Amino acid sequence: MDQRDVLGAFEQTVLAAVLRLRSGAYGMTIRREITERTGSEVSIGAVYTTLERLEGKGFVSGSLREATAERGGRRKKYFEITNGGRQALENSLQWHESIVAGLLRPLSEARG
Amino acid sequence: MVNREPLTDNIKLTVESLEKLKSPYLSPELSKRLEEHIELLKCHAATDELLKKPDDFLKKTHQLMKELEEDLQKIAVEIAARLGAKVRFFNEKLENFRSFEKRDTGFIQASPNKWMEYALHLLLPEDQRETLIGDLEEEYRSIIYPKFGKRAADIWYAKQVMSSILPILQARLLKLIGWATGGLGLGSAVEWFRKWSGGD
Repeated sequence: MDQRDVLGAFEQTVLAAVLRLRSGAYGMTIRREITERTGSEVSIGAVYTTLERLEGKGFVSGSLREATAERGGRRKKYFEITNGGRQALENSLQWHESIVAGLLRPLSEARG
Repeated sequence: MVNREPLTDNIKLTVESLEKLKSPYLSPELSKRLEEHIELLKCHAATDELLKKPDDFLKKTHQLMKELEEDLQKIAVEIAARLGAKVRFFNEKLENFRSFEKRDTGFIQASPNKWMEYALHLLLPEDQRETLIGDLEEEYRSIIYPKFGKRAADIWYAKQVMSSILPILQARLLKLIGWATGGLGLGSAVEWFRKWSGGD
């Protein structure tokens, strides 16, 4: 595996959120999913710039859909993970697993 | 001579029934009165059995039973009143909930600070304006405002805008650098091609 294939930590988080939300993934739901899972507040700007980057890499695809009154008549952009995105996420998880493998026991032993 | 056996049985049955009437709904005064009746009845039953008291004792017991009946009526009235109060309490809660629901639909009309929205509008690339501002407004109206109120929702919105500035600017800057370096690369390639093809 090439190191360049490995996603950044926040890219992984966003990609995982899109995967979890399936057909309901758009800016607000992705931001809330990340906040609930990680327990830390993330900005909508950070989510969007990451989504834009992932879209540029072909890992997610976006489509504009309905506008609602609650949104001030603005449309939503839904995101879906592509096959390339799934592969990239899988590669990243494997990469992390290979790094972490065998470390948990020494760490807990060192802690005593 | 009066046959005391049925009376003693009746007293015991009454005591049992009174024990069942003990309830947290009763006022301390009535509870105390109930206890007194129970104790007296127990005492009378025991006395009746042991001493085989004559009729005057039975008259007292009868009087006691009469008093008890009156108190029981009071108890019934009090329980009904207290239950009524509980029903009124729940009705009130239900009304509050209904009015909250009505208020909830009113939240749709609430809007975030226009200056903050304008700041985002200026910062964002055109293709993200509609969706990102729409997402923030949706969360503001449907989740944050109903849960925490206008002031907290406005603070949340402002925090979202402030914390979004850096990543948005960073992304735009990186894009600009990409274009600039791309442009420089293209310029160098054109220059090289011009020289290679024998131009000036």
